[in-house]
Parts: sequence; structure tokens; C-alpha cells
Amino acid sequence: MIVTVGCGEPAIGEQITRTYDAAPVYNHTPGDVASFFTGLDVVKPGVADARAWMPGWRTPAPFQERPGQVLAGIGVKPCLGSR
Amino acid sequence: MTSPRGWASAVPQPAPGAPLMPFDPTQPNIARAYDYLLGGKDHFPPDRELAERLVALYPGVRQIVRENRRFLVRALGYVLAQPVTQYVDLGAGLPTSPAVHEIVRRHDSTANAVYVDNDPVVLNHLWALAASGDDHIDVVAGDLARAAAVMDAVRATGLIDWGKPVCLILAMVLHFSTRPPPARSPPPKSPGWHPAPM
Repeated sequence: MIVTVGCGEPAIGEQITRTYDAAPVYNHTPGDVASFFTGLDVVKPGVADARAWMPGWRTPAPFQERPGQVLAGIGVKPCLGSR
Repeated sequence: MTSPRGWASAVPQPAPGAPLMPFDPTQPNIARAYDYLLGGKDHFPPDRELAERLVALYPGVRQIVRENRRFLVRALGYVLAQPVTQYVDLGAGLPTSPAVHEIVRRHDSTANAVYVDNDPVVLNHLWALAASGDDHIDVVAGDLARAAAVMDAVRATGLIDWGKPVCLILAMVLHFSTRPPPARSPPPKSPGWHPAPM
């Protein structure tokens, strides 16, 4: 399962969610995003900033922090044994 | 598509030449605003106006949507190498380049891709894509809030066997969902958890 979620610092996230009137939008915390992977094995380098996620890397690539980001990761259902 | 449980069965693909599903171009739309931010061509003034309001609040929005696509290409490359030959793009949005089926085809010309969305505008575009005669692509009109119905409808396409590995894609979708309920199963077994500090 490939998941990406847009999120940001609370201040900017709150403005975005208020402005976005096409649909309800939620500024998930990193913990919320992690919970989408509950019960799955997370592929290295884990759930990371999309810019920094490189397949097979032990840790994410370096990146410059900023107020908004995409958190991204791959979760594998353990019974598939395909890690 | 025959599911008794939800919207996934309620909106069958129209026959060739049939009128498009109705939509309201006077209201901003998630998929069209996203398409505008990505530099696409399928949007109306309210979509552009919404997107520009987001950009005014945080100019990095344009960059974020592009980073998402680039991540998706890398992530699909990883999954294709496992190998996995079945792909279900949930909340697919308007077809963009490279589309999921185009990415997977570069690695495996026989891989199947099913696109799922609940948006009439998106469905009109996806159905046009699926009508191009490609037997490895199909489209399901479904609401992710009705997961069982979506799974049934995806199975009914004949392209996805849930008994074999399937790659689900939820790209830039879950921020339109509330957070998951408290975990009943173990927390993710993660080799690393690396969000930027917030």
C-alpha cells in the first residue's frame, strides 16, 4: 500500500483547511499518518517526507525543512512476506 | 459491477456515446484544483481561484504536488520490483502524466491497473481512458468510505484477484479522511519514522 498525505505546521495547516472549501480537509499530525500504517510492515526508509524517501535507503535523504510537506511511505501486509 | 452495498455499484460505466456524468463547473472541485496545481489543463475558474488562494497562503503547494508525483514514481518502481502485477489507485484523480498505468507498464506490459474515484469529472476522464481499448485498465465509480463495496466492484472488473498481491495506492487522498480509529492491531513495524519536526 502506497500512501501519501499532505500536511503542514499547525498554523499553515489550519489556514489551508479553512480556505479549502471544495471538501473537508484534515491536517493530520505525523502520528495520525503513522496510524494509517497500523498492522503493516513499513518499507525502508519508513514514513518520510516524500522528497527524502528513496527505495532501499536505510534513512531518508537529507532535505530542507519547511512548513508544508507530503508524508509518504509504503506499508506491506505481513502475510504476504514480500519485504 | 454488481454490489448491493454501496455507490460502487450504483454508477455503471456509460455506454459509448452516452452523455457524460453531470457536474457543476461553478463549484471548486478537489481533482480539478489539483490538476491546476500540477500544471494540467482540466479546470474551471472556481478551481483555479481555489488553487490560487492555497498558493497565496503557502506557495510551496505547487512544489508539494509535484514531489508527490515524483515519490509515486519511485514507490511504484519499488513495488514493481517485488514483483506485484496488480494496482488499484484509490481516489485516482484526473489522469496525469505519467499515470499509474503508464508507470507500471514501463516495467511490466501485462500489469493491471484499476482506477477508483467518486468524482463525476474524474470518472468522465477515466472512462475515456479505459475506452481506449486497453484490456489492462478499468475504472470503478466508488466511494472509499464504502470499502467493501469498492473491493467488490474492483473484483468485478476481472482485473484484480484479491487472493494475490495487490498494490493499493492512496496518493494525496487521506487528508480528506478523518484520522483512523484507535488501533486494535499492533502499531506499524517501522524501520524508521522520519517526519520533519513540526
